[in-house]
Amino acid sequence: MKDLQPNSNSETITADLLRPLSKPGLGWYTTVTISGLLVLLAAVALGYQFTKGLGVWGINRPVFWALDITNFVFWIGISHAGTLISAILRVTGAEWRRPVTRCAEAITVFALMIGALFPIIHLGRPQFFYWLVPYPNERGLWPNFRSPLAWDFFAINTYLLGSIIYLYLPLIPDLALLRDKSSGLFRRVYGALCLGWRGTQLQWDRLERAVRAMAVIIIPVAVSVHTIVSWDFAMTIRPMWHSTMFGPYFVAGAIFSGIAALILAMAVIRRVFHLENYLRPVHFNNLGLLLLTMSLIWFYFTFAEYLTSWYGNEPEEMAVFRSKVSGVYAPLFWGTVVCCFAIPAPLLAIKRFRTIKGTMVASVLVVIGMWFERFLIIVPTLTQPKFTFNWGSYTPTWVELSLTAGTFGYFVLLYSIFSRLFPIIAIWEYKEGLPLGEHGEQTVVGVPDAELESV
Amino acid sequence: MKEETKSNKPQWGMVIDLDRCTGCEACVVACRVENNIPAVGPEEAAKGRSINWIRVERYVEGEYPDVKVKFMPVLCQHCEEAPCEPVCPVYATYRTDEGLNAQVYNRCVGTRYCANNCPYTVRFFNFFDPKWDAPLEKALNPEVSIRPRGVMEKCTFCIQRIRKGEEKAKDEEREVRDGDVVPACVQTCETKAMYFGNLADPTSEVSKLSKSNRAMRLLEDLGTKPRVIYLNKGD
Amino acid sequence: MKRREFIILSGIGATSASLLSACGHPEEKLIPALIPDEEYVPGIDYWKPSTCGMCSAGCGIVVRTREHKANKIEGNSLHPVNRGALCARGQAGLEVLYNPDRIKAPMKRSGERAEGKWQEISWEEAIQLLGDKLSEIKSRGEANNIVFATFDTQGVLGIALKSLKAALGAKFWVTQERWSHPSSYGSGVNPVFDIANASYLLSFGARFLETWHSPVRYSLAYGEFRRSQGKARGRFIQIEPRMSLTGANADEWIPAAVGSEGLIALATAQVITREGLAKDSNAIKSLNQPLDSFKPEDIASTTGIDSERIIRLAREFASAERPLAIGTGTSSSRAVGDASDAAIQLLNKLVGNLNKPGGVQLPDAERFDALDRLPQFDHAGEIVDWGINDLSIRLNNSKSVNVPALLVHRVDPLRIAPRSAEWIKGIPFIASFSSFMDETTNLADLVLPDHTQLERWDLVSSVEPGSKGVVSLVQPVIAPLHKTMQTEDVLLSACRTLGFKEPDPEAFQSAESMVKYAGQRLNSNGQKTEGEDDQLKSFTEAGVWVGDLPAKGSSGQQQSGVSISPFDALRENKVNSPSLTLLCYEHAVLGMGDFANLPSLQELPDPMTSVIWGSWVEINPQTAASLGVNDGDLVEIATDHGSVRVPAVLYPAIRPDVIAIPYGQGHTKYGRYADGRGANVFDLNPYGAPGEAIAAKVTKVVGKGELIRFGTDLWQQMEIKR
Ligand SMILES: Nc1nc2c(c(=O)[nH]1)N[C@H]1C(S)=C(S)[C@@H](COP(=O)(O)OP(=O)(O)OC[C@H]3O[C@@H](n4cnc5c(=O)[nH]c(N)nc54)[C@H](O)[C@@H]3O)O[C@H]1N2
Ligand SMILES: Nc1nc2c(c(=O)[nH]1)N[C@H]1C(S)=C(S)[C@@H](COP(=O)(O)OP(=O)(O)OC[C@H]3O[C@@H](n4cnc5c(=O)[nH]c(N)nc54)[C@H](O)[C@@H]3O)O[C@H]1N2
Ligand code: SF4
Ligand code: SF4
Ligand code: SF4
Ligand code: SF4
Ligand code: SF4
Ligand SMILES: [Mo]
Repeated sequence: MKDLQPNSNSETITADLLRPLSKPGLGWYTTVTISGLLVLLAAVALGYQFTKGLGVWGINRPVFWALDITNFVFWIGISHAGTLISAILRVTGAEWRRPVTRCAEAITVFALMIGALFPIIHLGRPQFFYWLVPYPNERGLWPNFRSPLAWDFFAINTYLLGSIIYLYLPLIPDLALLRDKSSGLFRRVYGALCLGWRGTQLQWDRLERAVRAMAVIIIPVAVSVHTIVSWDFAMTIRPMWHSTMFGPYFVAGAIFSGIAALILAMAVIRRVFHLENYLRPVHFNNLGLLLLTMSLIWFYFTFAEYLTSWYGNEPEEMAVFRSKVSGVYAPLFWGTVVCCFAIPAPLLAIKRFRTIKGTMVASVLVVIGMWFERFLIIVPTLTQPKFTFNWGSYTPTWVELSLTAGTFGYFVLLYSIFSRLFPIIAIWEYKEGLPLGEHGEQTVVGVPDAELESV
Repeated sequence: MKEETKSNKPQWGMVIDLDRCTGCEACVVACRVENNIPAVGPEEAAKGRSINWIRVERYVEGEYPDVKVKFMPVLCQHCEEAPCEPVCPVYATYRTDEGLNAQVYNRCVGTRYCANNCPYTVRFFNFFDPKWDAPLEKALNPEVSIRPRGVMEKCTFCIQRIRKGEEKAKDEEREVRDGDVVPACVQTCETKAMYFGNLADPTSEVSKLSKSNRAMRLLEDLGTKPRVIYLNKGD
Repeated sequence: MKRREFIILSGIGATSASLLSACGHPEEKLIPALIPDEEYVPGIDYWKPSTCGMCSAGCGIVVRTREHKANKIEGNSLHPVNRGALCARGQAGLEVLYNPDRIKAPMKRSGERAEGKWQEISWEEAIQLLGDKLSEIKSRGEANNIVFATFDTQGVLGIALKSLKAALGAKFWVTQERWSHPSSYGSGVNPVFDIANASYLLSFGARFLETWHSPVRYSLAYGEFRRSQGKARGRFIQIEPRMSLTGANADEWIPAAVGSEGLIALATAQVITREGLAKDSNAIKSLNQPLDSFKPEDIASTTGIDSERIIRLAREFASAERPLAIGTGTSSSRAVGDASDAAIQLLNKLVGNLNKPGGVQLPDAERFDALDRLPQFDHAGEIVDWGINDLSIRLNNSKSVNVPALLVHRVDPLRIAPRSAEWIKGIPFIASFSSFMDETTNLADLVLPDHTQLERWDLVSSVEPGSKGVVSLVQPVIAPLHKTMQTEDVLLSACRTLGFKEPDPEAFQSAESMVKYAGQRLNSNGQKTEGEDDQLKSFTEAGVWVGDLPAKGSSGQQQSGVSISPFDALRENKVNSPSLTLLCYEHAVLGMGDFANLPSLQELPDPMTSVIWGSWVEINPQTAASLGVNDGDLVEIATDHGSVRVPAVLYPAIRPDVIAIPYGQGHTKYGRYADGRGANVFDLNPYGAPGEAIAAKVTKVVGKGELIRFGTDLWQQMEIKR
């Protein structure tokens, strides 16, 4: 392990990156308060739902799923930000990743925690959710392994576990740093968490190997998770659900929304914690390019999906198709296209706009767009069963809307708390990339933006 | 997703003659009364939460004055290849060895996945606890359990009557035959458009009718192999 | 997962259910149905036979009871009328018995009239009050102005009324709302139409599958008409301005102008005769004028049916193997009503199908009532029988009579006879025998709640084709639920307080004793015979008795002359027919409104529109477009008599010059399930007859009409998938 260059100022870096932990600043408190209130609202709604029954939702026959599953798919999608991005960047050894990785990994863990809530709270009898767990019992009952919902269960848990580990490993050296810098209870906690990290060569080697290994492992896991989520729909025989390309379609969408979420998170952190010269335009620029790519891919998939439905001209498919492109759901549908493609694509394609502000705007639109995309995949199909006599409609109630708002609040809350307890930028990983690595090549972190125009 | 049910038990099935059916809906009320199906009331009904294990679908074709109307009673088709079954994560809905699509209320956790995957939209969810204004609950059928809030329900082919019929046959030490089991809807049918019996017994009325050239199944192309057979109007 | 495991599971389920019941799910104490074959032990059921009282058809029922609770009604397979089947309303009968809004004990008014303040009283007191009131009126010599309004005077009520007359020593007014059969086959003759064996059925607006005489009987017949061994599929033509459920089942639906049935029938007859297709040509002789003036060509513009079509119908009908024409039901209760029925009957005569298979079956027996086996006693003159509407108008107009007392039983005059509202309110004493609080009962001074159908005793007698007598038994299937008393028993006791002496106190003790007395003597004509008790026993076990009656050998001979002069007027009037005609029809299950308090029927989708829990008006899409009305819009329907606001339903199968509204809703005092739902159609059409048609105006109004549907609207079209 090469020791740090004397000329670069390691102390200031450490100080900057640890500042949020000591003095979060006003921005942090306001964020926490607002998001906290949203969570409270959702908690009330949930309590009401549990006492009264699912009837307090807007769901009905035939629309048995709506915002519950929308939020489920959406948040699982968001979760793909982190792990996948950071893993890919790590594996491909993209140097500029260094200040980005942890922001990303944290997103994954929290988004997953939220997404995974819905399969439980959307149950008619949530108290029995554990019946999906294959635990030995006197009745000799097992879950039905033929059900995509059972697959979900395993996939999501694996992913959650994996991404927690993947968040934790790179945290260790920083935890050690915190241990050394803190005192009292905190010292003991950080001490315990950093598993007695000493920074010996051996430990570094092990850590690096572990991190690299996890990076490789987590990618297929992440892909499989959203594929399986998509199979919840694709495995049925409902029009515009029963589609072979739903797997990749969903994964692409997931990464798409994930990146957007990441950009937003970074932008906020940058402002709130004054990390302007750590999270620099270059990072937004690069992520912006990724977002552009995903936007194109998303459009390609959407186009392919709808074109084939339309061309196939199957009555039931067409019913759903029409309701989306020209019927009741047309505003949402075209809104989605605008949010996910029409605006972001040009915005991100034009270098002049690929600024922090530009990418932020694009990301906001994409996040909104992708939420509605999930909604549009689920609801229109359900409103139109095969026999037209049973067609229905759906309008959400305050309970569902509060729960939805709550998820966003909950996410922000968790994220804020995390960023107060742990450095949201990996200090060691950042320093590791400081100017003049081994063979004297420049690494992005050290270089002034001016010279980066070519990136 | 196929699970063979090889069985020497009776294979229950229903035949509905669309040429006889007038759409009178006596079957609908009969089912409601026999199976303790609550009226959910106007507010809930307006939300699309009214429960009818059997319903009469009405389709109108043509324009005035050449209007044609079709009535089609639809209940759980007890598909041999039931799309609702594999998707249930807890086996709350499954195939019995009598070819019934059974619904175990106590096991159902209420994911509603089965309902989404039932091409015939015959599954009904209990959004709230059922309620009967006293003393209406006195009229409840003690042999049919009340479904609590949060579980899925649907036509059971009047399982309670099937059990009774089979008991009777057993007591008389013989195979079940036509007339042993008569579901509530079939029993009351005002035009005798419905038949119920053992499809495994070639001599049963349903077996014979199922071979009629008017016989067809709903959404046959899906390959769900319904156990409810319809007879077309055509002569 | 193995079956075994489910068995264990369901067992667990049972306990978990009862656990749940601890936390506020009382119903779940019940045994789950889905317990495995091996372990299923059915409880003991007791099936009790009786007779459905939910319409005048009188189907036989058997009621499943357990632990003194009735939990299912089914058709009595021994009963000739319904042979085991039951209609939707019959299936819902338990909701009448266990209805939460029943009147639970006799009450007297303690506040102002219609204030809804009541004081519960004992039956002794109640009967005393009624008796005193009646004797007071009697002493004032106004007894013969008493009005007893009821739905139906058949059965034990008839006897109770006779005794009341005897006790009061006066004839008084009795109104009977029950729809009575078109009389063109001779008064009191109830023909049965052998639809089952007909090969060609020509129906003039008869809703024989829904309402009409006997929905279940004719639905069963229809089933055989369509499909039965060794018989070709029958052909069925329905002629009616608005497609009813019955019309929806026809092979051909002909939207003739409102009230033009008679004309079409005559035109058909005219073609049959002019083309010499008549099988029984001397039928024409019964006509009081030649048919020439009713050529299809001449009436086409009035009826809206072109002549080719009528000519085709006539040929098909006359050449059919077993043709049958049936009447217009209560739609005929218009100016030309009876004549229409006569004209339709003429068609049957022309093809000579009287008492032939697939034809019109006329019973060959005198009027028959099993209760005639009771000892007779003499009583003041005959019952004066009009609909409450007509009666009230008459009495109102002749200011001389003022009615001292109104006794209401099974009818709701205040709601169904808006024109009489003032008159009713002016009556000094009103006693109601209703089982439920309703608009009229709410106005009453004394409430004497009746048993409901499954708690009472009665006999329903009828004559079947040939000379068969059928007696259906109405008997209690469980002990009375509340402190109610059968109206007949109340009346009999009241009569006793008035000093009425029955010929045979034992027999006339109560409705029960009367029924049993007659039940013991069914086979013999009155005289007690050996084994009477076995006879009664087998009767009470079967619930129905079928026996031979002395044939009078004159069946179908009555050649009632057909007067077709009323049609001359009709034929002329092409001009002054209203631009929009309102049809009011009987709701298939809610009827005139008496069943609007049954949740299961309120939530039963109307088979044509799929509407639940409310009223609606059916408008042809063209008409709607011209009025700027969309499906679900709130519209105001106005006639000379009143107006109501209901949501519009675009109905593709109704004449553009006709709109239709079902009766059944619009209650204000009929319990939690009925009140405030839909509109009271009687306000639009205050005549004493269903199916009356009058001019109406439709205007779109702002506001949201409550239109709840179970299925999608009528514009969702689809082929059944193969
Ligand atoms: N304008 C117009 N007037 C009409 C008609 C029409 O078509 N148009 N139709 C006429 C015809 S055919 C009919 S049948 C009548 C129908 O008119 P009604 O016979 O008055 O019908 P409902 O309004 O249903 O009133 C029945 C009443 O009986 C009471 N009731 C219900 N069940 C029981 C019971 O078990 N026992 C007792 N004692 N009472 C009970 C309830 O309180 C209910 O209010 O209307 C007649 N009047
Ligand atoms: N299920 C059920 N059966 C019943 C009853 C019930 O409530 N429910 N009630 C019983 C009683 S009390 C009665 S009175 C009978 C009533 O039964 P119906 O005699 O069938 O009386 P409605 O159904 O009111 O009207 C018959 C048809 O005439 C049409 N119509 C209405 N006005 C006119 C008109 O002016 N001209 C022509 N050409 N057609 C017209 C109506 O649209 C309807 O299609 O049913 C009896 N049977
Ligand atoms: S009809 Fe629907 S619920 Fe019934 S078995 Fe088939 S798929 Fe399952
Ligand atoms: S709702 Fe119940 S039965 Fe249907 S899939 Fe979910 S658990 Fe299984
Ligand atoms: S078979 Fe039984 S459960 Fe199924 S629809 Fe008929 S009555 Fe209802
Ligand atoms: S009872 Fe018979 S005739 Fe009436 S709707 Fe049901 S199946 Fe059709
Ligand atoms: S037709 Fe229906 S309502 Fe009338 S008696 Fe028969 S079952 Fe009862
Ligand atoms: Mo009537």
